[in-house]
Amino acid sequence: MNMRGQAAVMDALFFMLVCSGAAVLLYNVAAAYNTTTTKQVTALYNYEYAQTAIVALHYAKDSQSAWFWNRLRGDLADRTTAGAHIVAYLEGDGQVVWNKVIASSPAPYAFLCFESDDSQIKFCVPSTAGASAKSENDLNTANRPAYTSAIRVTDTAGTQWAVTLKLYY
Amino acid sequence: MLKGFIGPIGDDLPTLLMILLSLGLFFSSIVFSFDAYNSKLDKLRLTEGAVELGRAAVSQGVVDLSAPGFQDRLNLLEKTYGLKAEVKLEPDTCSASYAFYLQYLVAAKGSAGAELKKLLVCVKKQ
Repeated sequence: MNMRGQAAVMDALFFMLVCSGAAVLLYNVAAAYNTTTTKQVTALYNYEYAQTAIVALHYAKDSQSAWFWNRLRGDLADRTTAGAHIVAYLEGDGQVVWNKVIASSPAPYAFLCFESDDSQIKFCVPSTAGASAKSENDLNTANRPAYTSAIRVTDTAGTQWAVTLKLYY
Repeated sequence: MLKGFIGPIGDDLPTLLMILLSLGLFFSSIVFSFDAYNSKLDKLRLTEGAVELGRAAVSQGVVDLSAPGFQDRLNLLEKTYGLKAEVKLEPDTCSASYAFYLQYLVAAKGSAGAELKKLLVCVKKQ
C-alpha cells in the first residue's frame, strides 16, 4: 500500500522516457527530410550550368573581338606550347570571357581542362591567376563535389581535344 | 488520517507533472516537425521550379527573352509550381522581393549578334 506512490512515479518516468524517445525520433526525421532530394536538384542545376556555359562560350569574343574558341583552337595546334599559350591567353585577351564564366559560376572553383585524343597532353586552367592560382591537386578534389561538362573540339592542325569545364565546391 | 497523505490530487502531483511535461514535449515536437516539413517542402518547390524555369530559359540556344511563346512557357511553369518568376539578363538584376535566384552563362541575342551574358532566373512563392 505504501509503495503505490513510488510505482506511479516510476510509471510516469517510463512514460516520459517513451515520449522523449518519440520526440527525438521526430526531430531526426524532420532534420533529415528532403536533404537527398534537395542535393539532387542542386546537382541538376550545377550540371545544367556547366553544360550551358560551355556551349555559350562558342558565342564569346575576347577583348580583341576574336572568337574565343577559334583562338583556343589555334593555340591547341602547337601541342608542345598549348598549355602555356592558353593560360597566357586566358590571363590576357581571353580574360574578359574567362572572368564572365567565373563571375556567373555557382561554384567557387572552376577549371577549363584540355585533353588530347591520345591522352598524351592534359592540362587545366584554374579560375584564379598568379599567386592565388590553385591546381586541382591543391584543392584536394577527391573530397569535393564536382560538376562537369565536356565538348570535343578540333584544333587547326586537325587533332581532336576534349575540353571539360569543371566546377568544384 | 494517513501519514503523509496530502489529498487525492496532491499525492499524484509529481506524477501528473511528469506526464504533462512528457505530453507537452511530444506534441511540441509534432508541431515543430510539421513546421520543418512544410518549410523544407516549400524550399524544394522553389528550387525545383527555378531549375525548370532555368531549363526553359536556356533551352533556346541563343536566349531571346522576347521570342514568341517564351513568356507563355514561363507562365505555364509558374502556374505548375505555384511561383512568380522573373528572367533577367545582365546588367539587370532580380527585383528586391525575389529572394531566390539561379544564374546561368548564356549566349543572348543582342544588337550585334549573340553576346555572352549572365542570365538570372528569379523566383518567389506566389
